[in-house]
Amino acid sequence: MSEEKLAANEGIKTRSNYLRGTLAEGLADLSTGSLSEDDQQLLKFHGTYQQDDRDIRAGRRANKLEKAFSFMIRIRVPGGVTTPHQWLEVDRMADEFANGTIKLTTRQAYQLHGVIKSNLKRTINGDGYDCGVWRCESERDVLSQPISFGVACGGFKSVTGDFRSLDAADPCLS
Amino acid sequence: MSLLPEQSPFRPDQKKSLESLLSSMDDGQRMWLGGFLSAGVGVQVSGASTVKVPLTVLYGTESGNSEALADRTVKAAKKRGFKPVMKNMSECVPADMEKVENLLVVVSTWGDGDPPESAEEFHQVLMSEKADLSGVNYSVCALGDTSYEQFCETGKQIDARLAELGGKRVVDRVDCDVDYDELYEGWVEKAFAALEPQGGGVGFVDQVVSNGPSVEYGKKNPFPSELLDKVLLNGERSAKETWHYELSLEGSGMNYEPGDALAVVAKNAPDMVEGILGAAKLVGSEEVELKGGHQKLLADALREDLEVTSLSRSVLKKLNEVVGNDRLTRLLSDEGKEELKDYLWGRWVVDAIGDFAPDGLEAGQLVGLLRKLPPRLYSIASSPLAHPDEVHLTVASVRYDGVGGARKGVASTYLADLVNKGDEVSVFTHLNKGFRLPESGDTPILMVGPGTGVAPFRAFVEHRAELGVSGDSWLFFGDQRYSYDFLYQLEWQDHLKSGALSRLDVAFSRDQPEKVYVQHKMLERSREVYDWLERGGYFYVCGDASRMAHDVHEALIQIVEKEGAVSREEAEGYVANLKKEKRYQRDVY
Repeated sequence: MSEEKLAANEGIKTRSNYLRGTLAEGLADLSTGSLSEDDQQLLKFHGTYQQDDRDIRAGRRANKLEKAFSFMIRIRVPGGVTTPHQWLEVDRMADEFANGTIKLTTRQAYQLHGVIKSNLKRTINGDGYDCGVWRCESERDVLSQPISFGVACGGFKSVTGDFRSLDAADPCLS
Repeated sequence: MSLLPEQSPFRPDQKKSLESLLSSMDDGQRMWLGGFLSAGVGVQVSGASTVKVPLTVLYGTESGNSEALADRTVKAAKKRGFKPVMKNMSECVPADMEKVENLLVVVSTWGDGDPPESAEEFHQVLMSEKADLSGVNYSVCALGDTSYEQFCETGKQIDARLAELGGKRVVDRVDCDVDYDELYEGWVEKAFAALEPQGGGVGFVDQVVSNGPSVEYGKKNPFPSELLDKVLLNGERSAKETWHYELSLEGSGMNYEPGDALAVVAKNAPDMVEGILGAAKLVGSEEVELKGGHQKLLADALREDLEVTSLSRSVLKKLNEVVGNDRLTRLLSDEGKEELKDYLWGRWVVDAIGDFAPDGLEAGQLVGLLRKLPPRLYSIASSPLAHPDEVHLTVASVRYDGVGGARKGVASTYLADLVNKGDEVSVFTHLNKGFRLPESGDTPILMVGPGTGVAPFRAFVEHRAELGVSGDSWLFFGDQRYSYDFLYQLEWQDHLKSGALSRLDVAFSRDQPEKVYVQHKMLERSREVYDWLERGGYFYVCGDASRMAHDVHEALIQIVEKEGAVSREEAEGYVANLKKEKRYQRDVY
């Protein structure tokens, strides 16, 4: 094993009881809309990032309120292929639990913003939403291009199908 | 400088004559007069009867007014030579009245013509069970609010029922509006005269009685309090407007305890005054005379003295006396009850004037329609220990669209729009004995206070923190949206950290597709809520009377049913018992 000093993150991971940390307690404590620093780090492994509404940051203390915390959720789309039904479900989730907008990333994922902590578990688990095999990124997505060159076969070929089976077949990837 | 002390037993006119006479005498004359009087010649010395007349003053109070009047009655009765005893309807049963010779009843009416909560049981038994009150001389003073349909309903019912059960009504009932002093004084004077043995002669000395220990300032003389701070408690994207106000009580001599309320004497906004002047086709510079005899300019009277917004049956009745309108007559009739209800909804006096007096009114007529502007009560949101010489309020600004256009609450928007830091607001404290922290600091307390209902609980928690008590405390708070409507969030976080607050549960109704309210959170925690009650915990509810209080009450019964493994009736009995033991207290509006 390497003798190098490990990044701070590694310590958090090791102590985290397989990436659980104090997430359960943190999620249950609704006196604050935020999670502890450590839990925030762990959450990144679940494709979720804590944020706060910068536009209104200034007045919050005066209102006797903490920052307006919320979470961004990234939803993996294997091979970048999504069905219209999935899109509509994500749209519904955006309206019901996020800020109503959907972003698409350069890594072919959906991104929802503004999910408050009390709704986090529900949204990550996709309870009540029918989206097939997609779920939040606990690891990076499997990317593919819609069209690619098949060098060997000298023509255009879609490799999306290959990636999907790749995604499904290998448990490490899913 | 008066010769006679405040407490001298003379009527105001007698006092005046006496003082003018005495000041005109020299020492020799006075000494002669003193001797003459003590010889008992030609003077009926009042109150010398050896047998004191017994008198029971029975009251049913919600926010403390009836109790305060009962107290005044007892004090005055003592001076008149009665042997008075004060009884709270919550502590006795109608059967107790059978042995009473002389009975004076002071009772208020709440909500939809209901008796005060503490008097509910007494009222229910009185109305349904027989009692023999044939030896009872009585009279009733009913308190109420003419802006409600069922004005003084409880007082009316009790008055009728006492007669039904054989009681002898010695003085007619009076039905008092929010401004009750005058009517009360007239009533109690008549009552004393009717019940005392010989013609008395000792007049009712009008003392400056104020609620609470205040000396100079009080209801009759509100304190000009400086607004120290005003802060919006909702975040920028909120749909609501709730303000935190900090007012100074320095120099007022007024004290309060957590659970008490502050009365704010507001002024009507300029647009309210203009609106009603416009509808009545008046200018505002007309001279008018108000009850009590002062002369004022109409616009000033409309701004400071009169209620120009709230439309009630009583206002419509007075309006009809002026205009004699068929539709109005029909609305006021028995057949028109439903239609009247519809008409009153969302309308102000200005709308009624527009509808029924399109040609306007005379200044005197307009003033005659309107009652005195009542002070508005707000549950105090601070502990005097945590904020000496200050009093804090949590007030939601009422703004809505009525039938005639944009409408708003008088006092809430007065504070929000017209009073700035440094300005003065007329206030006085209002005792609320029915809403108090438990005696012992070890007693666990459960507090359910969504929206502005959280106000007294801020006071409770601050108070306990200052006293350094160790008892557990649990707050259930709710509002619309977590990110913008979590009133006093930072303070609750601090209290949780310090231990002043042990537990906090929140319910935000608009953060998810289904509505989540405080009662749902209570039910989620039903086991622990029950445990706290079993440990002797006190359960407090503050806030909306119409739906929330009822839903929370229902949840409480369900919790007892489930966790106590008892029947519905037994659970209701358990909860009723909590009330009896004063462990279930409510401040709902």
